[in-house]
Amino acid sequence: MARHHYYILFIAFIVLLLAVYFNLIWGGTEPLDYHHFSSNDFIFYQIRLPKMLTALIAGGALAVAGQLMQIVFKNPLAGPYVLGISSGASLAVGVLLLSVNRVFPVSIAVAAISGAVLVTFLVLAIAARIQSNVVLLIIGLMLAQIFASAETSLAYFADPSSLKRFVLWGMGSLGNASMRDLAFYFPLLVIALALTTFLFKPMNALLMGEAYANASGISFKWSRFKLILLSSLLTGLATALCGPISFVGLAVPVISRQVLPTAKQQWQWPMNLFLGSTVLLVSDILCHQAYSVAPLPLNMVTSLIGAPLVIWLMFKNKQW
Amino acid sequence: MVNEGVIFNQAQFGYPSRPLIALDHVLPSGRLVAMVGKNGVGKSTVIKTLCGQQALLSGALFISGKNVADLTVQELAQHVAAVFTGRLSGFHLTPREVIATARMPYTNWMNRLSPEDEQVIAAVMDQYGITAFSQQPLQQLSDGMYQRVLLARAVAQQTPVLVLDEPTAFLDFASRHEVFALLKAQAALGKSILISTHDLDLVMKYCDEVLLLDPTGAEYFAVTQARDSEKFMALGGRYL
Repeated sequence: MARHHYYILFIAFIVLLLAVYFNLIWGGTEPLDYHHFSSNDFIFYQIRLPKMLTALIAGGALAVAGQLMQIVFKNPLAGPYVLGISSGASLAVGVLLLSVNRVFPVSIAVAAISGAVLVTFLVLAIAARIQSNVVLLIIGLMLAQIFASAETSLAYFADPSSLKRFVLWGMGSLGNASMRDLAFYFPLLVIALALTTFLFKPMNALLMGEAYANASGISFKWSRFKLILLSSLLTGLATALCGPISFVGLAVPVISRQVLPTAKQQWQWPMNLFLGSTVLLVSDILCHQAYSVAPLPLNMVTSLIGAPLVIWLMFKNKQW
Repeated sequence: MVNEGVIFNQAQFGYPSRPLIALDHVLPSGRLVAMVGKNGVGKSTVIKTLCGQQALLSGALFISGKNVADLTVQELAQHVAAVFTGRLSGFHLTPREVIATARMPYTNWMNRLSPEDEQVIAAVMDQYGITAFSQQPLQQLSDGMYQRVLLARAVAQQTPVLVLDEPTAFLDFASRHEVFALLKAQAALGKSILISTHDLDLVMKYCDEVLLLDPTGAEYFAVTQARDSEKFMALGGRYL
């Protein structure tokens, strides 16, 4: 049975390579002349390449973050956006963008990560006292609501110029990070992703729920702690790079299970990585190609192409 | 592994705000013991405590001579295997994958299955007639087939003690008998088995002993003496 899984993964990898290539060529308002990359040196190294790398790493990170959350909650509705973790990151960035006049990209990143980590510790403190996952999920959703309304009140009282900056950030963009930013974030994200590969055993145990995980010798609470922590770290880092991308963390793990129908999380992991990156790379191409005057916001496109795909897969297979 | 059964040493089960039941009994090895009692009396709590998912309020619990409080989650899983109520769903889980999780207490951090692990899994699937549908999605199985998979999983864990929480609820007549017959065969191999159930007729037919939980106190007696117990008769034994 493993053989056709290899084929599916291999095809997904080829598709990813194609997406990387076409993103570099078409990921802008003008197609790059691929026979003479050197003549477009500046555009290539300063704009297209960092944008491609951002999509590559952030897409994979968000998808894996979603995979971890959906395992912990045994629920396909879970993603980095539940538990209020990304809302925490958003709120922290909102406070920054709406209160300070001059903003550096690095300060946005620091705000996003600290917001995500703070909320994660809040959630973990609550989780330590709460046995039921559904209760934890509801508390997380409520936290997200509180942060969202705090964000709205901030925006309501903000001055117009900083408000626009914040709204644009909220729409997500792959073009925020320079090569220098990436030199900092890329290794961190790779390390966080590498750490998740040490958790395949608890991941597979948690598929069977809390009781059977414990009965299989895998501590549910300790595994849940590790998985939520890593998921938040990935989410915080990705949000810092490209703003809150709403769709990837929720939908890619769902698509991944439909395309590669196996419970083995060591197989789902590379599938999520490849698919997550591909979705962001392709979305970025569409952002630039769909409307000739100016690139469209990323969040507009990811959901617009992704959501119908999920609906179609659900209709076809009728299971998650 | 030497099996010394389960020893409840003035063990108080329940929650700090709501103590449920105290047990001071010994479940010997090689016996199929039925745990009966009304809903809410603490049957599930006893099962969960035996699996280390809940702590004792006071007293001690020994499994194969080891105090459960001193064991890690992994060590405990090498001594006790369990079947819980309810059905698993989602994630495209297959019977083979579910049964393979029984070997997790013995595998390394990468969960690499040794040839011995593979052999145990294959043997159990063969023994319980699961091999033919071992790659089918779990949710396509009938309740009877599903429960057989979970039983096979518990057996594959190769523990001296086996606990089951109402494994025959929702099953049809034949499947209920099948579950009890399987457990009786496992007890005959030397395991201590504690099964919580409401099927008193099956208890009389298959089990060796009865652990009756009651708010006024627990009773422990051989099945042959069940009709002498007032509490057993009141629980429904009078209809048998």
